Amino acid sequence: MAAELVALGAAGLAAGTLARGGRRLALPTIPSYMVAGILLGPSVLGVISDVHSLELVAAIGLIVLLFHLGVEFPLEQVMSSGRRVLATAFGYIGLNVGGGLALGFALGWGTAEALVIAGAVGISSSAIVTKLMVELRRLANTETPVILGVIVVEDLFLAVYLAVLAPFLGGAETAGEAALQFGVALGFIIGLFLLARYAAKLIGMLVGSDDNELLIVLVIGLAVFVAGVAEMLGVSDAIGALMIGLVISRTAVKERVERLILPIRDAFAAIFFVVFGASIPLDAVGEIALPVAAAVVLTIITNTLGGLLLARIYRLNQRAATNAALALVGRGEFSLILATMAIAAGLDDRIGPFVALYVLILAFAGPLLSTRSRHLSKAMPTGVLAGYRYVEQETMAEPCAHLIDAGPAAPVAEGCVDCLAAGDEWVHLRVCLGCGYVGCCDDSTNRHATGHHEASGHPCIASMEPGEDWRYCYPDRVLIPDPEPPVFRPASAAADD
Amino acid sequence: MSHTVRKTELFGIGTKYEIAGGSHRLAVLELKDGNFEIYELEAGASEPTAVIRLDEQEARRAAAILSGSFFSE
Repeated sequence: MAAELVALGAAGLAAGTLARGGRRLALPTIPSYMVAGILLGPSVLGVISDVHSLELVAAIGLIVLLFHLGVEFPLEQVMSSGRRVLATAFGYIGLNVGGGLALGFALGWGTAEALVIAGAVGISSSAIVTKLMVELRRLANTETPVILGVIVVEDLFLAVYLAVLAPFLGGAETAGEAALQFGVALGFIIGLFLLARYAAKLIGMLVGSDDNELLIVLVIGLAVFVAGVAEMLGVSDAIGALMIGLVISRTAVKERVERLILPIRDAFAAIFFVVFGASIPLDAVGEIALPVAAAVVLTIITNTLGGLLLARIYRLNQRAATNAALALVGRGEFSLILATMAIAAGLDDRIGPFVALYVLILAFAGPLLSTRSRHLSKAMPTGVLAGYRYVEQETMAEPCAHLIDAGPAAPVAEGCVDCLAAGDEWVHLRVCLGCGYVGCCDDSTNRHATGHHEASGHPCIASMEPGEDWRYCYPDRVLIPDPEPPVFRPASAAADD
Repeated sequence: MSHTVRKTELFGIGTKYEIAGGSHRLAVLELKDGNFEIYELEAGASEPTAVIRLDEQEARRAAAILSGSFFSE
């Protein structure tokens, strides 16, 4: 007992100390925890001589980690989130998980191994990405809500993916057995989903208490119990914890549980990451160096494509595409959870070190690349973002608030108001989005549109040329090509309908 | 010029309130950990010119002063 307590205490101390040092270098905490585990583990210092003695504590870490994820999961918002978020997220998941699957099969370690690698390589770390957004001061950027939307859909995808994996990890001998295990896993998830949908109030009454002490005792008990039952059914404790968290998220105690569980999650999840690090056999690293290098290169490529897809769908510029691509590179808790499940199921023992090294490299590379996003964006193939040919060099990552508020204003005339009055000619026409004033462009001699902005203070104009559909904001000097919905339709086009 | 406030949900982080108008934008962020952040974004810039982080108590005090309901003595 004494040795285990010393190991556990050392795990916490080492994890916290290393992470504090890492924080100064703007590194996320998860890789620091893993490094602490590697250092304390049997291959280096040997403070944690028997990893199995800490298994129960690590399991609690994994359970509260996923339980918290379930509790704070914005199910309602995802269900009601626009088609664009879903299209972006599934595009991103398809690229990354698909790429991971191809790599997994190419390595030839086995089918179950390939599926684990696909998930570990394909799913971003919610913890690392959200922290990165806060630390890089990107909370006001346009692409940030989209990045976070992708992360949330990835979390939901993970739940389904864990269910798909269950029969492969359960060691089913025949197709029938596999189908049965898949059925049990799916049934369990659907059952808890229905519970969340229809009977959340009941669960809320079961564990609810006005007293914080009693609430957290009951809730932790429930989370660990359901996770245990799930494990017994061969579904994995991870899904059980996630799904019961989802049930709690629909109850009246959601906010309080979210707040109360946070410190518990932080303390125990750290132990989970340390134990994972300690369980990595270091002598295997040479063998998996090449596959890891391939996985890192693959992830950077699929993320670049994912970033471009996101920017394309949301009509953002190359800086937003780069920001998204590099932020979403972060891999962490989900990859490690999948690797832990693979180890527990007795799959190829190269998976543990493979995922560990992969997560370490990307956890360091992600933030480092992200801080250089501005320079790296110049290398983005912007040809795909056809809408942005006007602002190739623009650095603006957020469309301005004036444009968002500017309503469509119908043009008050067919030609430049002031030129018509003076009998002058113009090159192109612009319409003021504030009042509908029609003026000539800056290539015309009179530049009435700009003059109107200076005189009236109305911030935004749109092109009135047939076939052109862009808006421009004077104060923010930002151009939004091809906005949605169309600003206005030329009278001739409207007449055609 | 109208100073409209736009609210956006940031999954996993908190809520963003954007105040537009004049030559700059303000974004007030209510974070899930109880802290607040205020971003100032100058027109045409891609990065915020200032970010102020307030804990719960600082935020309450600053809000009282800003709303004109803070009295001393």
